[in-house]
Amino acid sequence: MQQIAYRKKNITYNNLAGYLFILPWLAGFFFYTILPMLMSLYYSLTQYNILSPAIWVGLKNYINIFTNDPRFWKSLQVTFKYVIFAVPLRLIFALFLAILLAQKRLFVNVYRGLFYIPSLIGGSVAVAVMWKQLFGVEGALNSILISLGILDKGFGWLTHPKTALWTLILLAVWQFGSPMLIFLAGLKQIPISLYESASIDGANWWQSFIKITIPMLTPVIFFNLIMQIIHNFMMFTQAYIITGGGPFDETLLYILYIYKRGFTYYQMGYACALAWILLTIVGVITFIVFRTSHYWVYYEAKE
Amino acid sequence: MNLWKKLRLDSLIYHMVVLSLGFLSFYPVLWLIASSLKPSDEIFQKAYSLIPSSIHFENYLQGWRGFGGVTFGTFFKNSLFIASLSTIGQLIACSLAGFGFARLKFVGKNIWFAIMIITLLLPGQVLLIPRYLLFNKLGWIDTYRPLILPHFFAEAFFTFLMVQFIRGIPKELDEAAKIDGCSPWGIFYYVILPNLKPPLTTAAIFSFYWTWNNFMDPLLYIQTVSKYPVSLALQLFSDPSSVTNWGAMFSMAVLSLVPAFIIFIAFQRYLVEGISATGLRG
Amino acid sequence: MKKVLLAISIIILLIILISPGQEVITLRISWWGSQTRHDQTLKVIELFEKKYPNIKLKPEYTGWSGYYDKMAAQAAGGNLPDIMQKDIKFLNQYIQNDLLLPLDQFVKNKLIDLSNVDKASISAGVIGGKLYAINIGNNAYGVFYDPQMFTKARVPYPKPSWTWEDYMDTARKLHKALGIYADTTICNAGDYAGFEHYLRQHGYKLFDDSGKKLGYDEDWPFVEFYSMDVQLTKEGVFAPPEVRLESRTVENDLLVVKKAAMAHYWSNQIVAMMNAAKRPIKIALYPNSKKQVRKGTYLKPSMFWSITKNCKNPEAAAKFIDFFINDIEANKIMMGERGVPVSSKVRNALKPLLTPAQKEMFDFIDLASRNSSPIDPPYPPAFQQILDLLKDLQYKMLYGILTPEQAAKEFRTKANEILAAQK
Repeated sequence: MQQIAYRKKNITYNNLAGYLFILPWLAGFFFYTILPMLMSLYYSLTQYNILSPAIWVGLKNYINIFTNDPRFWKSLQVTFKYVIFAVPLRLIFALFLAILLAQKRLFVNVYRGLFYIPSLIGGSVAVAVMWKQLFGVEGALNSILISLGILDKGFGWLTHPKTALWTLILLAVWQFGSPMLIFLAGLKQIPISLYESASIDGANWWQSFIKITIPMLTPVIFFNLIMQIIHNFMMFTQAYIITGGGPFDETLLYILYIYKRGFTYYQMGYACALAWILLTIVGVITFIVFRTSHYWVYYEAKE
Repeated sequence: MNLWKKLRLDSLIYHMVVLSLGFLSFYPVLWLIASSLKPSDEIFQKAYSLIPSSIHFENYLQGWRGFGGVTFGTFFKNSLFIASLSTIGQLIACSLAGFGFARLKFVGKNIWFAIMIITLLLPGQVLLIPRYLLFNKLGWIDTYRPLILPHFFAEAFFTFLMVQFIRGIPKELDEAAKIDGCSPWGIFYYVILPNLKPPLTTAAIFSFYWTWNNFMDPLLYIQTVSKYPVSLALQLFSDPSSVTNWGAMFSMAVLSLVPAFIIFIAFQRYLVEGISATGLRG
Repeated sequence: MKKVLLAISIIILLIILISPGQEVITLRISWWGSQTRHDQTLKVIELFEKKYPNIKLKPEYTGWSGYYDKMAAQAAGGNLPDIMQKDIKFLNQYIQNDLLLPLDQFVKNKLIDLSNVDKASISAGVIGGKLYAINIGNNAYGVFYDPQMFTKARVPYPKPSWTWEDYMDTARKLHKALGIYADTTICNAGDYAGFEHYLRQHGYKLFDDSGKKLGYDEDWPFVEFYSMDVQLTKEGVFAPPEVRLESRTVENDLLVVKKAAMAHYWSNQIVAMMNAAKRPIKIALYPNSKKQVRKGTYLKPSMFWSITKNCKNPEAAAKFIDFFINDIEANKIMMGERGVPVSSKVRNALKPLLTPAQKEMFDFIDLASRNSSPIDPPYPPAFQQILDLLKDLQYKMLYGILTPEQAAKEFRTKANEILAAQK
């Protein structure tokens, strides 16, 4: 009898403790997130030009999106293409550089700075101008290629339908500093003792890498994978300021399309519908990755 | 002898590889700095050259002058205030929430966690107007509250980051502390927190520079020019329909990189510090 | 005696205490621009506050990017500023959603004095018979050209009466003699003005007055106009699409970097252009069509001041607008930065002080005002979508994906669909 009472008290105690600790998140969720999210869901069922109150139209926006909007499909295609290439490339570079920069070498601090600073530049107008100056018809890349004899006149990397998206992918990959930093943090968590015992046992660098580093990094790889997928589906600023979605919508990333519909065409209801469709798609992808994580992510703390 | 030669070769290759990649990575920033010293028209006309024909430090003076008597000194001060407070708030909030999700058992934990991840999936653009309306109702327009206070609530990104790292800390440490009579708070404070330096460092760096670079929220919420942060002020230089002082804008853009970079340098040594033999503190 | 003095001083004191002191009215005012404009406008505000010490203006300014996002949010929240700088593209929307105050009453009671402003400059702000916005700077679309290049190529300068055939001829000659592009394009990338001018010349408009469909119903103007573009691009006289697509600012326009001899811009950009090019640039009127029924050129307000409906002190706001367009000292500060001042008195006062670039702009507007026809009604809200469509089709024609005939048809069909779908 007493034991059961004790257990019950324990559970209540645990629940209380749990909720207290996640209160910072929970309160923010209710105060700052759930209400706007629900409002946007409501707007998606209306025609809303921001300047006047919203008018209810039911599912009309969603129906139009799926049956009458070729740009929707185009932007989905562009965004998927972008994510499929940007995410792995970014992660690979990030991991590669993190491993290189985790070692205690001379100047390693300086090197880290060199690789990280591009990510600080973010999405200001200056970035756009700079990227255009690098890849423009009279830009730096063309000058180099021409002087090397590979090209005989400037190529429009930014404006050719086939290459425009790649310049954006390149921009994303160039700013790999964030996942790199997280990998660095993850690498630091791995106890040196593991490496020491491994080398005592005669393992070489490659074996340590495969048997120790990668498995111990899986929680962080998992985190970076999820975050990069989400983050890259949400890519907006760079497309907005560098290519504006062109040419021929070849760089019309989904969020850019949402922005256009909402703020440029003043069709906020439509934009919200687009947003909720994206949420569903990315949600499904994220769910799948979470599910599969059981098979490949290794946590030191056995749950 | 052989070993020594091997080590030096190894080192040489290392430095060469890293330096060349580093140069590629850094080149565009170099371009930015060079452009900030060029006269405005040359920025576009001789785009490929990294070397200005003449060094124009006055770009920095003109840029710093700012607008209508409000210099970039004010803008930088504002940005520092906003970014620092936001970062401190975020670090506290996400470590608490992360511990809750990672270590404690409570009803509905998994559901809340899933919801937390879902909140990451809705694009900010469609939340802009609803959030503005909310803050408007509260009368918080033209104050820093909409910019700073949300960061005192844990954000999904950072919370998730903490969760992943905490799960990497062996539970034996928790058990040991519990046997010694520690409450959950004690476990958090004495066991987990000391081992969170790497992710907290990362979170600090990110949180700082994300708030530092954020210009959309200040654009919507701040009306008084003297309250603008740097991210917004930078944008005041450019108007395609009239004369834009590119030199001034670039110079301030370069300066704007400095604080975030300093934060990075200051914190990143926590990612280098050697770890003790057991690999963990305490 | 003493008692009388005391009584008088008490009365005076009472009068001073009781009479309502001039209460200070605060107005919020917003505009977009760059560093120059911000500094100038703030000085103008200072001058105004000196003249009217009981009115204080609280400035809120940004760059171009994001200005309208911010305004949209404020509109949604019901806290738009009292005085707003507006671009003609967004005028209709704000009026249709009942956000702007009609200004006719202030013109009638001379609070806003438009006696020195000619009708053409006022009409652009009139919608549905009511005046909603005051023009604060006139612009006209023109062909910018480098006279030295023309001289070098031995090509005569454009005359106000020149035709499209003259233009093509000139372009070809320039290209042959100088080896560079004659012009970037016949119609600035993503811009509608060239095509619009062509339509107007032939008696059409880009948009029907109702705003629910296009202002023309046959494809030939589209085909003729863009065929010129496609043809001259093929011949290498105009810049190829990949060069054009790179959105250019004035500073790296092909004319500025000496890769082209001409360019198309609104007249108030001559200042930025001459600053960047560091050599004289002149503006010519848009070419005429041999079969035109009226002049295509029109005077376009570069931007307006409007008073929003939630302004609590519209008379004070009206005073500011009046000051802005009529005060000579204020305009001496601005020197036509937003466009040529609409008051003839102001223009005359500024004439002796103009720099070469500003003089070019003033002279051009003078010329244009004598060679133009009235501006068409403001654009419908779906204007941005139509613009995106036009830009898309323009490049499809240049890349050879569509012929001008196909593009013309597609444009008319799709644009009319979009316009009809508006509420």
